[in-house]
Amino acid sequence: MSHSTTLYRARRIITMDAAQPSATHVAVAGGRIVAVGGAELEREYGSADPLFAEAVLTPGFVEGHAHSMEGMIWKLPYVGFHDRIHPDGHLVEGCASVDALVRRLRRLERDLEQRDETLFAWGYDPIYFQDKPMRRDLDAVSESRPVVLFHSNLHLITANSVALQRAGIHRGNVIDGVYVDQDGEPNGELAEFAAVFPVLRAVGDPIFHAQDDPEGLRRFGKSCLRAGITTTADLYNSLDAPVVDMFTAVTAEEDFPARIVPALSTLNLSAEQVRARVAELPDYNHEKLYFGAVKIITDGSIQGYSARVRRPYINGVENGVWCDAPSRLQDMMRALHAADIKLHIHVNGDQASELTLQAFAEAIAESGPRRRHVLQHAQMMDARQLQHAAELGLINLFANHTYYWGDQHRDATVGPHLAPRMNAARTALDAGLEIAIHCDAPVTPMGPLFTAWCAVNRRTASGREHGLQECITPFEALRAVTLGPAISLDLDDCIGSVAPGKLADFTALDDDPLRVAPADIRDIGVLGTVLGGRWQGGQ
Amino acid sequence: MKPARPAPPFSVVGGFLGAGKTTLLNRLLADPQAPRCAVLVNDFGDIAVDQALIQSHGGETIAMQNGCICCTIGDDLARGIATVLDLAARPEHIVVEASGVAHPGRVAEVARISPELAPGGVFVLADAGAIGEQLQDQWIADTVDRQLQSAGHILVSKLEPLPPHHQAGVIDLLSRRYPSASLSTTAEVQWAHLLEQARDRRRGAPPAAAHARFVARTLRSTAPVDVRKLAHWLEHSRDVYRMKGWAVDRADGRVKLIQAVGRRLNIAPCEADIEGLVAIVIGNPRLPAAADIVRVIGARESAD
Repeated sequence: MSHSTTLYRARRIITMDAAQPSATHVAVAGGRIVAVGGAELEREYGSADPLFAEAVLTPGFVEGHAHSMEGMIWKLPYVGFHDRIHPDGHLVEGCASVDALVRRLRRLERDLEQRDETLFAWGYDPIYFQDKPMRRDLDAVSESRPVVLFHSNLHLITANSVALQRAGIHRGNVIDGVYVDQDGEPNGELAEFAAVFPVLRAVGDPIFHAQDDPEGLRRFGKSCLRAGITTTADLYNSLDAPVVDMFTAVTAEEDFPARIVPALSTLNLSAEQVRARVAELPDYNHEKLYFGAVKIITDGSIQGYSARVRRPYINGVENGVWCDAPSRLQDMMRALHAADIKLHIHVNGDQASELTLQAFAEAIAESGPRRRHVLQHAQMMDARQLQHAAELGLINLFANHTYYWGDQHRDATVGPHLAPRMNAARTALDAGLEIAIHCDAPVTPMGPLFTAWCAVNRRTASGREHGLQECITPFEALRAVTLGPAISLDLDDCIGSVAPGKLADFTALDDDPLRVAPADIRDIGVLGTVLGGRWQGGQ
Repeated sequence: MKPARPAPPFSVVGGFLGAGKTTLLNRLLADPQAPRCAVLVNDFGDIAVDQALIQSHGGETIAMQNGCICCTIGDDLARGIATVLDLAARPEHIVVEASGVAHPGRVAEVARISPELAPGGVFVLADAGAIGEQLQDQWIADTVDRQLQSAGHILVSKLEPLPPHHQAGVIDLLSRRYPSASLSTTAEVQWAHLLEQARDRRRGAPPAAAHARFVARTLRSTAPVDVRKLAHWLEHSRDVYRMKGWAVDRADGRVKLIQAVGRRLNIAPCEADIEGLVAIVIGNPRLPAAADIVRVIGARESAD
């Protein structure tokens, strides 16, 4: 089958291809790039399509670590602190005060149809409030129906009195995960299984079956498009049969705008079971769906004090939690490395990264080098650990949490000495590591340009400088949201740069991320994306 | 609203990887005396009960001939508990196997809140041969310690294969570090024990309440013991089911291993690094308090 060739002309094309770093023209045929260059290409391919004449094209952004839950969770109304863009493209204003939150919830409450229906919302984060909203504030929304807020991390909830009463929570049976006010009354905030279960049991769990909701995955695709992402990881998925079927069908839809790389969760599986699943899953692969990788979670999060750290948290909170016995985590890594399976390892705390480095050192000694595995988040790795990771041929993904939790890490979790050293992208590059940077949506919003801005400028949400010695250049940051994550996903043979033979995936921007002031990178607009040569439109 | 149904006691069996949780649960599931209970386990792969004891096997649930059901938790404990609570025949007791890294005390707390569950026991297993090293291990010491801190009842597994002096050290270590938990070995655990603990917790009565059939005492003393008196007490007590202990005998200053099963008594010299007395005693609720037993047998200091 022969394809006609389309030549596009852009204000500039940033290619991430060392052979030709900058261009103005790209020729596309059959969904792939056939040539990259300047005006001379018009002699070969005829006059250029001016669709991108005013735009700057980059390789399609690759989100190396996000979760399809980002799409699923928009089933519920968003009431977080920061403004956030709905996958459909409209702006949802942040609720920056308790009053604003209550006003928003009242409006949502009036729209509920059933008299006894529970009002659910998500995205709320108590960290941003001096006087955080409590049970009583939610009682002002409704005293007759349950009101339940999922926090942005989805692990905690805040509930009103009706919900607490139905769950049987009162001052007489307060447990660890039930927070109380000065008078010893439950204040509505609930953490962990023992406290959250009775509430969701009483009022229903709205995100119970979220993983197989096709509308959720379509919203995830829209979120990608809006942020300029043409390929995204979905880095933790049970991949049960209904989920696999749904992913296969929805990503194959003609207008589904992104390539998805789901990673199988090893939770509750033996290495043998993982091998069997990974052997059969790639049968479902097509150009927008890439099964085959595996995700191992070792510890929790730093802001949740559940990461495994080598030095204690500064406020006396006990060390975090392993997600499985360390020996079993290491055995799993060694067995899957020997089986030549690609691994993404969640390591937040530095004790978790130490455990993982030790396992890979042994695995490589036993079985030789195979796939280049990825340390995800890797937020607390120091120079020595990063050097070790480079020697082992690993790849590091860093979080954009310098902005979202930098202040909290300095003041409340790991302290002023360690916090500015976190997400050490500069040290990693200097050590020779391949790196990428990520958003971890829905933990933080999808937005490679914002993530790049974080790595270049290292400012916290309050505007503080946060370890400027770890800043990377705009070029390095752009590479860390394109070619870097493409390498981390083992897809750099077909995506990640604008080079002949690769898939024609581009992101069209309204300004040049390498020429604007570094502080302005986050303000660059995404015009839309091209996926396999097809213009996906923008917002 | 759902009609009120009796809230089954909710017990948690925890302990680090390899502590013997699955072995214990396999035995309890196969017990013909089992109550109509639901046992929630992490993985069916480890459940190895005789096929003849299985009535039916469907997806996430195995029904046993004795009326027990066994369910997998998968990645969602909430879903597992909801499933068994929604069964037409609600189980009389729910036992959850906490994962090897979970905090069993935290999991158990759900029953203090949920009107559909009654508090049961928190049983934490400790592998006798490994626990000493685990409590020193760079990766897991704090996790294992947290689990044992939360135990109402510590069950020591794999004790018998160890040399006697090593056994004494394990019992000594655990009874010293976790004085508020009762201590026995997994070999002694029957359904009755799990149920008694649950019932006691529900009524707010101490474990020695008159209706109970099973109590455990840990005896400790820093001073030598009159082993003849101890033997006399064991031979005449109608309240001791089993006893295992190590004592420095006041008569000759040597360490003796003392084991009793019912009235059968065995005393033998052994090597063990102890000061006075370390022992675990399982008996009926008329068993005197640990301090009283220690006084009777002529030791001076004790801790329960």
